[in-house]
Amino acid sequence: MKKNTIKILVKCIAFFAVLFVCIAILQHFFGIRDYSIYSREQGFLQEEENSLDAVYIGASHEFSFFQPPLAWKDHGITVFSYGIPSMPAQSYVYRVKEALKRQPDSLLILNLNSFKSMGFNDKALHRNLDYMPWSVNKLEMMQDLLSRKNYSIENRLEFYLPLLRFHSGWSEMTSKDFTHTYNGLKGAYYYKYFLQTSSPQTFDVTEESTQPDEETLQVMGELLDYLDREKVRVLFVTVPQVLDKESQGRLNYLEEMVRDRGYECLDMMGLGDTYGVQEAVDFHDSNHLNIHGSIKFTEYLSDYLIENYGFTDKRGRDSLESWDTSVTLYGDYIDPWTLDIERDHAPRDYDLQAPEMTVRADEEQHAVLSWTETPGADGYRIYRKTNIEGDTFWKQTAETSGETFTWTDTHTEEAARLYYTVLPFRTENGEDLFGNFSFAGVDLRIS
Amino acid sequence: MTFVSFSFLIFITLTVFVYFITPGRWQWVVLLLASLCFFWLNSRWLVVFLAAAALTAFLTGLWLSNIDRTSKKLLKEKDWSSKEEKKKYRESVKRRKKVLLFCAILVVLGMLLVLKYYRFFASTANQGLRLLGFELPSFKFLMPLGISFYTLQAIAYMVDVYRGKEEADRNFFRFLLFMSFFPQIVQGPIARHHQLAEQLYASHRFSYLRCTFGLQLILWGWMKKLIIADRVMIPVTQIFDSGKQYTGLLLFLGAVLYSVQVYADFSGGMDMARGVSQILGIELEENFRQPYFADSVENFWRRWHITLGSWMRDYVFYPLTLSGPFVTISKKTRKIFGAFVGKRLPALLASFIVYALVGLWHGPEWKYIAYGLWNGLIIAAGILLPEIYARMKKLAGIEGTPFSWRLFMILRTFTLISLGRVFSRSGSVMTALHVFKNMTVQWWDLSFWVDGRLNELGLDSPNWVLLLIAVCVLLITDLLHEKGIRIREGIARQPLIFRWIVYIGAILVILVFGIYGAEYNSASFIYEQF
Repeated sequence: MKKNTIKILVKCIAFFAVLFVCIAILQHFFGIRDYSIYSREQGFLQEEENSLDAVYIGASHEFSFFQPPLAWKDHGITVFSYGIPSMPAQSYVYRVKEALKRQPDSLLILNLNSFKSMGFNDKALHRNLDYMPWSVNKLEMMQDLLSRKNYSIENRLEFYLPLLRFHSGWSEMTSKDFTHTYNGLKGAYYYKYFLQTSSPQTFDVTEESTQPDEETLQVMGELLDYLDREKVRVLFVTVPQVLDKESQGRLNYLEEMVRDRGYECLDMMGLGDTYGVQEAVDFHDSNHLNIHGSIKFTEYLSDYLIENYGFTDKRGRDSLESWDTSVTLYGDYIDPWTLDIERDHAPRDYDLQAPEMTVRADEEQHAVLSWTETPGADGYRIYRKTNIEGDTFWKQTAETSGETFTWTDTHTEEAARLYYTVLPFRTENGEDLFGNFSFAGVDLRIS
Repeated sequence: MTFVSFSFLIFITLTVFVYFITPGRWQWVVLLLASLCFFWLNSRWLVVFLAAAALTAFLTGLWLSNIDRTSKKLLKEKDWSSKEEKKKYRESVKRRKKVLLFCAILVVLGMLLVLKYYRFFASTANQGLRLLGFELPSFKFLMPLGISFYTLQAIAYMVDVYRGKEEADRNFFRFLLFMSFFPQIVQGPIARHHQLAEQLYASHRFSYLRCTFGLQLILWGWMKKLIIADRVMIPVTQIFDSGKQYTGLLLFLGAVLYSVQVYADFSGGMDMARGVSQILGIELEENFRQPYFADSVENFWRRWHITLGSWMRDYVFYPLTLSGPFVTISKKTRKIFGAFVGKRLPALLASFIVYALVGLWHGPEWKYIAYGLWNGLIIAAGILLPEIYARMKKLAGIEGTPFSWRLFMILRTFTLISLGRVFSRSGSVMTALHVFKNMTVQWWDLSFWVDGRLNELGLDSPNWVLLLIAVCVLLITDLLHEKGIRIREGIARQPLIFRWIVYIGAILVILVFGIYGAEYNSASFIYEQF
């Protein structure tokens, strides 16, 4: 080859290398811009190798249910929430491989709810791919998922280089886009709207079993084959969701399938009886718990893991300081949205139903609360919040007897909008047991 | 597969690679296969129309050439009994050639007229025919890619052979390459056989410098298309297509923005075509010469879509003005109205016909004809009223051509061109007239600059700022070109590190600020549809 040709070739290669680096740097700022996902991916990478008790894999039904900092705070167990919103069932086997790379001895908790359907869209793919660290496993996962959707080569490009899809967001970028880092929450859920709302749901649990479609069986079969081959410690779980009977039936079928293959499956589709999650007050929507429900769920699953898998309390270990930090960070985050009795783990009686509340302003611009009787309640605590945003806290402002169902707040000058909730309690052996509460939609505009 | 797609990038890379590893004498075959492949990917079986047009033009060229050769031989060798007989023979040959050319043009043009204009002609004719109780059926044909361009190329080739300006091509496949050369088939330029064919058939060696120049042109074309044209299209679409009643200067802004869009879109596409050709060692004609620096509408058309203008001049305007009927008109009007009118009237009539055809070439709708006539009218005014303009200038106390006067002329021309484009951008002539009417409503109202109405046109503030910067860059580049400064040569003289910063910067700017991808669908080239 002529000297000049070699020179040109070297120049071209160097040029494309520099261009590649520049694009890679640029790419860092242009993804789906969901930094809770970024935090989960990065956070998992930052965990010391083989240091976790369990890795909990699933879609939003995973991280809106289980809150790792609470499990650490109350039980000293390290369960990382490695869930990605809209995680396709087809990606489970790759996520399992990714988890095992760093935590080969951990228990893997796999949420089966994602298997209720095999569909996924572009957004789901970006959520699951954009922040995942590059590896052969990721490339295989991309190839697999993109092939299933029959994307053309041109349409696949945006998943290899999300900048191509999200570049138009440049005009809406904020400093956060340039400074985002791992939030230190161990995968705990980090968007607030479900924290401030409850959405009553109606569940209709069925025990019937329906055979899923071919693809579901094939994907599940491949996952189980892999788990068999690698002898992975796994616990399958299902969590409550509002599903039609057929979808539930398919999940029931899959539960049986994994049990037949010798894996344990914890069915938590049933509510209340076992861990206190209530249809009326603990759901954000038909698929996700609100913070109050997730506190109950985390408590239940943590107890279950300790009891059945022998997880020990690791609090106080120097190497796990980041978990203590996560408790502080998570506390800062949820404190404005939770009651003191939740944070302090006061004894609960979930049979005490949340009273239905109304609030009105009287002529003197005082807030007049009325509520329905909660059977079995010996009294009611009244809490108030002056701003629905995260800069104020729920404060107990009064306590009434079990026979009083109304209360007037005369200190209404503090804010234009006031929010209330009424917490029923009963007393047993001198100890107060607190029931359920709801504050969704209870707001008051003092005109 | 458009010029702004990933598949086109792959296609180009493969073509360039195969082209330069192929021995020189076979390189044209690579180009032909690439061109047919490109055509097939875009228009599938409609490639038969391209082949038919090429075959017609090729055979006509050969036939005309044969007639010429045999007639010349006969004229030279035969012992003519009289000059009369020789003259008669010459005339009969000319007639044969004319009939042949006419038939061939009819075939080639017929395909364009049927595929592109049948529906328009039928619907227009039906308005009258309905009164007689019948009407022509309405068909909508699929349009082969680039038919408006290759038809004109074929006609120019046949006329040039007829006129003896051009030797007939003797290899059909080479001629097919001339007709189908993929970088120019999408939106021109309209090449002449003598300018392009030899370059296409010649062998070319890879040149690093030429390749970088070509890539620079492609990058520049992408920037114009993706950063300016497709971005400015968003408010233009909102203003013209949303059905909202905009008024005054906001509507005028829409017309101005559309002018920016068309220029960035068309010239961007042309830069890409020229860039790709340049990498292959083929120089396409420039189709633009800083059109918005034109100081008159006539001057504008010498700078805008130059190859269409010169085609119209050579194959419509001159033949018309020199034709018998026009000469007769000139003579008669000279007698009645005097020399001034008699001299100018044929040119005026020919101009109107040319500009109506230019309009019609853009699309089979009355609005395009109106757009053409608007330009014809302004040019006619320029031809008829030069003395009045001179007097007005004198009255204003302007002598010579100071900068302020030139600037005024440039802005005036741009305004007239932009207003004319309202016809082509609106849905119909009536809509365009409605737009003009609305422009006069509250025309003084400038509050849209500050009251947030600009942001309701589909672009947020950062995007408007970006658009403004990009248009300024385009303007400065055109200004430098106008002053004869060669930017690419200037960049080539800079140190490697500077050049790389420019190239990589341009690529990153396109990647981030370009309008493309699933969030924004990159728009088709405007002239591709013509």
